[in-house]
Amino acid sequence: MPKKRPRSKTKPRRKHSTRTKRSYFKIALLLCLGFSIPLAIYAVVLDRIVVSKFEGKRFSIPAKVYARPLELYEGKTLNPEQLHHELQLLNYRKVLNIQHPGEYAQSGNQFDIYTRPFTFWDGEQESQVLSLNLQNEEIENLIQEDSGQALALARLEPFAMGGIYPNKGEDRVLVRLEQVPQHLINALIATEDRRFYSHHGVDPKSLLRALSTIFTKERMHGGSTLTQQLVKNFYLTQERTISRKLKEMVMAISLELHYSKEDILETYINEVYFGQDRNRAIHGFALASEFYFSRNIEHLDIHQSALLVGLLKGPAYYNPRRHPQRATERRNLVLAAMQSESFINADTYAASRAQSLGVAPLPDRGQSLYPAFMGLVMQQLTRDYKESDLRSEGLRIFTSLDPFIQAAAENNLSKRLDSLEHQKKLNAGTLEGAVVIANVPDGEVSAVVGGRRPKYQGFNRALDARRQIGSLIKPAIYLTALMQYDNFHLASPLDDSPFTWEEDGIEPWQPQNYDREFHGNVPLWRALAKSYNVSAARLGTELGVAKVMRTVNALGVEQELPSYASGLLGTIHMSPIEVAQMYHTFASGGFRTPFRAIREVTTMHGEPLNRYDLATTPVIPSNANYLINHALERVITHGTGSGATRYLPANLRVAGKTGTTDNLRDSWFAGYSGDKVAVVWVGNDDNLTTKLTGASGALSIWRLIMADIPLRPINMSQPDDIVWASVDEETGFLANNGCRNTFELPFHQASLPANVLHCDKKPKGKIKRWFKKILGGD
Amino acid sequence: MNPIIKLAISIILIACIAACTTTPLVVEPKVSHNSAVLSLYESAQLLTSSGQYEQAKSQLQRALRIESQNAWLWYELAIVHNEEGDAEKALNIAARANSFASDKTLKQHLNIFIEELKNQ
Repeated sequence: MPKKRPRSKTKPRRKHSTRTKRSYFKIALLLCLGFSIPLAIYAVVLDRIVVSKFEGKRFSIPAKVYARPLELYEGKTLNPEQLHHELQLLNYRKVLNIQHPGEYAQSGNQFDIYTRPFTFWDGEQESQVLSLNLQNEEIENLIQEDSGQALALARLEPFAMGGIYPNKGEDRVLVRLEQVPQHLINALIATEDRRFYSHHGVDPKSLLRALSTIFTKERMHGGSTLTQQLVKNFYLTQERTISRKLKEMVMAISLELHYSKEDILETYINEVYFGQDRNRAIHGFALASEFYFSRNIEHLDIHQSALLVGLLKGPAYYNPRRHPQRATERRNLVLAAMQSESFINADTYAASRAQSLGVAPLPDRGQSLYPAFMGLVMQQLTRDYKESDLRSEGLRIFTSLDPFIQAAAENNLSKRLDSLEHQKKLNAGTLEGAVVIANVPDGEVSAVVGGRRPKYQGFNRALDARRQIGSLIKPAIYLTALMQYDNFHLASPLDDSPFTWEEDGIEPWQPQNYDREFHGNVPLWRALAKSYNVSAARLGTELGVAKVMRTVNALGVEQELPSYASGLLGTIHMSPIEVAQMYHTFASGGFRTPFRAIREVTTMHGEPLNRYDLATTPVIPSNANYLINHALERVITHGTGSGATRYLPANLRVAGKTGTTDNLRDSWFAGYSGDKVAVVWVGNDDNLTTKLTGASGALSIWRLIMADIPLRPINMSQPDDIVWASVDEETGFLANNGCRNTFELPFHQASLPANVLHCDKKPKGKIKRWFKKILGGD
Repeated sequence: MNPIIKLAISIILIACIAACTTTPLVVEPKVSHNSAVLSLYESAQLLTSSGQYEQAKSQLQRALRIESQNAWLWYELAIVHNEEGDAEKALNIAARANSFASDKTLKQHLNIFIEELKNQ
């Protein structure tokens, strides 16, 4: 059948094509509108994101943590070694003629120091030149150079010992654009974005070049402007898709619409990534300048700026410390770019190229030089501040850490543990240790060492290793007795004969002395000095275990202590810092002063925030404390602590107690001078034996540390109701057979029988009492 | 005896008695021989009187780091705590001051201060 021909086919086409065209056009227009509205909305959304993040807090600035500032005044105990230690920490340069802050000169014992300006909690301190003379381990005079006047008091700026970082460990130092040297900006422009000042966020020429180089091997430029790079780092993830690239371009244009070139450049300079320092990510040119060159960004040389700019392309690949050749080549490439953009002339180019990299040695840092101390700081800070604020607000935290004492503690611990392992034929690494040192008068913590490798952020044994304390608890037993002065005094006879304690639910307990002997009747002071277990256990059960444990709590140990009799011989567990807190109360005359590691906090700009007050409470009667302190001095002079003073000055009065646990698993020494309390623990993380007693282990470390730091002798004021009486040298009991071979001990006057002897030629209490009788005092 | 000498001796004696009876023999107790401590102490007192208690305490603690057993400094610290309204803390610190005090005048001041605090 023949097909019918449609009529339309014979009609002219023009009308149809115009209509079709128009309808195609309409469809296309509708489609465009249809897509462009959501696209436009999306662009607005991106725009809002750009603005809000830029306006608001742009960066998380880590909190900066400072050690104590070194105070200077006439008469202060200070030797050249300590002063050098501090100046070195603070990066002071030794020069012949001081011209700038951060320099010092030395001629013999005369030091001239040009201090840097610093904002303390209590105000700004300007730069000044200090002149001081050290004689006989003391500051002899202190003068302010400008005025020639004697200064009553001065302090150096405190050492920045660490920081509290955002979770990614980002660290940066913020700078304003004005602080950035022009040659650094030039280097950046020349290398990364030649038309930075003329484009509007995206550089078409650059883009084209980048696209074209896809086909060649060379990829000199990424094609991204500085603005795009900022967007990438600041807002977006590191994916490399086309859609991400487009997003980046839109946001870059947006950024340029809202913000000035200066704003963008400044933010870029503070944002870019410069590599990893262990657990710390270096961000921003200012910190990079310190990290690579130990220099303030304002003092960079041209070739140094060139290196930093060169690093941006790949901080690990071009790491100047690991790959100096590559780094030099990259730096020279940047210098060449600077010359071709006429930022530097041929001479400068040649001179800069000829420079060596000039990179400073890797600072020994990571996030903190003192992770164990930082642990204590965090513990205390998180009580008052949100952790997120600590990591992002740039707070300035002033602590009580004493870097000199910390160094003495760290060095002596690791060195001595090495030799102890050698001596006892233990495998290297078997022994671990911890040290806590605090100031007696105010409870400020000077040093915390968490292990023998102190820079390693591992288990903080000083705060968290809870170990049996052994004999360290004994002073609490004897103190409990001495507080009952009607019944006990330092020369009271105690029974050190075989003792069995029976309690429901446990096996009969038969404590043994360390020497496996029984000593019959012993005077109280000697039982403590020799650390006899049997008499201590018997006395403790007589007094009541719960009562003794209450004394331990009163001394500042906060944990709940069970009332098992075995606790009297130290089966309870404490951390070194808890032990230090307990012995601190003895050292301060019976006042419990909770430890503090932080003094004050300011904002990033130096505005004072809070201060941490000294808190002290009388918890032990001063007369009882005076007696227990004397007994603890006797531990050193006549007991298990006798090695403690080997390296100390002859007349320096100290006190302390050794502690040894079952199978020699823990070796402890807790001791104090007039101004410092120090606790050392030695043990094995797997609880294996150390083969060390408190005396052979921890004490041998304690005395080395104490010998390295300035100390004041114990100097407790004698309470009014304390008198001295004579005690027989041999028996250790009250003398009752004339004055041959006696020595003096302090007693509560109400605890003494009437017929007691006072043989001492220099009666301390006697004259005082006599005067009182005459003058009618109370 | 030569009359002139007699006269001289009498004058001297009278002068001594007059001095002894008219002026009570009081020696102002010195807070410290250390100029750093003194200047911090004085600064703290000024700050306390103008209600700047935190700064006052900061000065005193700085002074205490120099002379930790100076009872005057502890006493002043107790006073600041009292001014702030914390009587309990003031009492504790006053007790600490007492443990270091050897000067009679200071001990008297402290005892009065402590009594007042207890009665609050």
